[in-house]
Parts: sequence; structure tokens; C-alpha cells
Amino acid sequence: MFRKLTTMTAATILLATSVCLAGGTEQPTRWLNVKVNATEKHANVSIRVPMTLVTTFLDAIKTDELQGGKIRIDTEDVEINWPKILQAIKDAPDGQFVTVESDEADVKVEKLAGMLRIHVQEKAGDREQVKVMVPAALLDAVSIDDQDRLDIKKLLANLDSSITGDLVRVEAPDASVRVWID
Amino acid sequence: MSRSRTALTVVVAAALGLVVAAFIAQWVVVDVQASGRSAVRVPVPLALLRAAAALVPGSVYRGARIPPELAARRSLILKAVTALRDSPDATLLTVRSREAKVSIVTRDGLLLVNAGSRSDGTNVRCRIPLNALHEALDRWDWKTVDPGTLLAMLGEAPRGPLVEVNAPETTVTISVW
Repeated sequence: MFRKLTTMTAATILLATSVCLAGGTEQPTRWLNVKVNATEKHANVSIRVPMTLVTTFLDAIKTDELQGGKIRIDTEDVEINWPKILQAIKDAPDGQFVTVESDEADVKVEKLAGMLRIHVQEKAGDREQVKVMVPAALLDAVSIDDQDRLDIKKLLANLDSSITGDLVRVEAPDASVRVWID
Repeated sequence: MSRSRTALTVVVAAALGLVVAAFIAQWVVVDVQASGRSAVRVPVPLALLRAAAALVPGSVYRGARIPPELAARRSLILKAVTALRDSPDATLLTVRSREAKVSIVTRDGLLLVNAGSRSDGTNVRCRIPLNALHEALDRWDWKTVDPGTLLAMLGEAPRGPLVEVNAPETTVTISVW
């Protein structure tokens, strides 16, 4: 009788421990957030979706630009060695390292405090200003194939779970867009 | 004397059974109010609707075919519902503009959709039980209109209003009780 009771107690403790361990290792849900503020149209859109849903939909979308979770980057027939460029950006020290000045717009790319900042200032027309901020750590997860297709599905899957916060910010006179993960 | 007592007992038992069934059974209530006055209120036991749906011959629905594009998305839709069902409660979408106000929220296993037009004041609110929706979509053949699937979902829905449409002159509510 005593042996039976001991065995049952041991089994119960083992089971409870397994349940606790299983619960403890459960990954918290990660969310992709998008906030669009179109000032001109007085419209605000906020989207918050679980990452599992994002990857599910990426699989399903089939357009000319996006297929199988890969988006085509339009480089207008210019051959770009993406791995080399990405590696160069990753290895670059903090500071402004690209400045392009033209009649249409000024483009500045800088790396500061772990963020890659792209600043485009239009010189003509509406003189729009676009600021894009991307965490430099995100570049580790970027994969672009030889057909200039960025693998978004792989990017999201490989995102380090420590990466939270802003992914992209675009600020224009008539709208602002913020994409972040939490 | 004994025979009439037996008959009376059977009748009383049947009546009691009906009363108890009415309290236990789920009811679908369609309430239509026009300009503040209750115009139509139709309470129907869900079991009766199921029985009626089962009796309707399939040929009635044959004309209403489901687009094959939708069937092709079956797996995607099921995965999306699963992802929403298994995720913590959240506000998935809010849209605020001059014309409209839309919000989609998950709370306590329900997908709550609220859409309102600022121009004419019309507002639509839906409460969709995600688990029941998943089960219904999983069982559905995705080829034919199947009221049985919808009624099965209603059966799983928590009691309360499921769909509310508030227009300036008319209010329609579909509830399960």
C-alpha cells in the first residue's frame, strides 16, 4: 500500500514538473504593428497582428511583386551585389556613410546607435521628406537572392526574438508610417 | 379512471418537458425595430431551425454555388482563424477617418467587429466565436451553401447579441439566448 502511494506521488510530481516546464518554455506571442497616420485625409489606421498570422498570409499572397513570401526589389536592371552591400553596411561604423545629392533629392544614409537611418529630402514638387529607420540588427536576417527578391518570410522567421521596437518609420508631410514588433 | 389518470400524467409530463426544454434550449431571436417601435421580434428554438434546415432538400441550395477561389483559400482561412483563436486578446485593427470608424478586436475567444459610417450614422457590430467558426469552417465542404454549418456555429456561440445593425431608422439584432 505504502509503495503504491509513493509511486503515485512520484508520478504526480513528475507530471506536474513536466507541465510546469512545458508552460515555462512557451514562447510569448510576438506581434507585428503598423500605424499609418494620413494627416491630409484625417485618417488613422492601426494594425496589430500575431506574427503567425503574418507568415500564414505571406505564404498565400501571389502577385507579380510578391510570391512565396519573397518580394521583388525593383533595381531597374542595375546589377547589385546585395550580400556585399549588406555586409558592408553591417560592418560600417556609426556615422554618415552615404550622401547622394541631385537636383531632384538629397539622400543620406547613416548608421547611428544601432539604427540604420535613411533620409530623403525632395527638392522639387511637394518637397517631401521621408525618413526610414531600420534596426541594424535586422540586417542579419535579410536575405536577397540573385533575382533581387527579398525573402520576407525568412526575414520574419529569422528575426531574433530580442528584436523588438521600431522596424521602419516613414515620415512624409502628408503621412507617417510606423512598423514595429512587440 | 386509471386510464384517464395515466393520460393526464403523460400530458402533464409532456407539458413540463416542453417548458423545461424551452428554458434549456438555445433560442435565436431576430429583433427588428423601426423608428423606436418594436416592429418584429421572432424567437425560434435553435433545435427547430436545425430540424427545418435538415429537411430542406439540397436542390434548394444548388443554385447558390460557392466561388472556387474561396475553396482554394480554405487552408489559408483555417490557418488564419487558428492563429487568431490561439493568440492573446488584442485590438487587431482600428481605422478612424472622416467617413468611417472600424475596429476588429479579439476578446475571450470572440472576434468583435465594429464598423460605423460617420456620414449616415449606420453601425454594424458582430460577435463571432472563433472556436466555433473554426470548427464550422473545418466541417464545411466549401462547395455548397450549408445552413447546417451556420446553425452549428450559432449553437456554439455564447448567449447574447451576435449581430447588431443600427441604422438611423431601423435596428436589427440577431441574438442567441
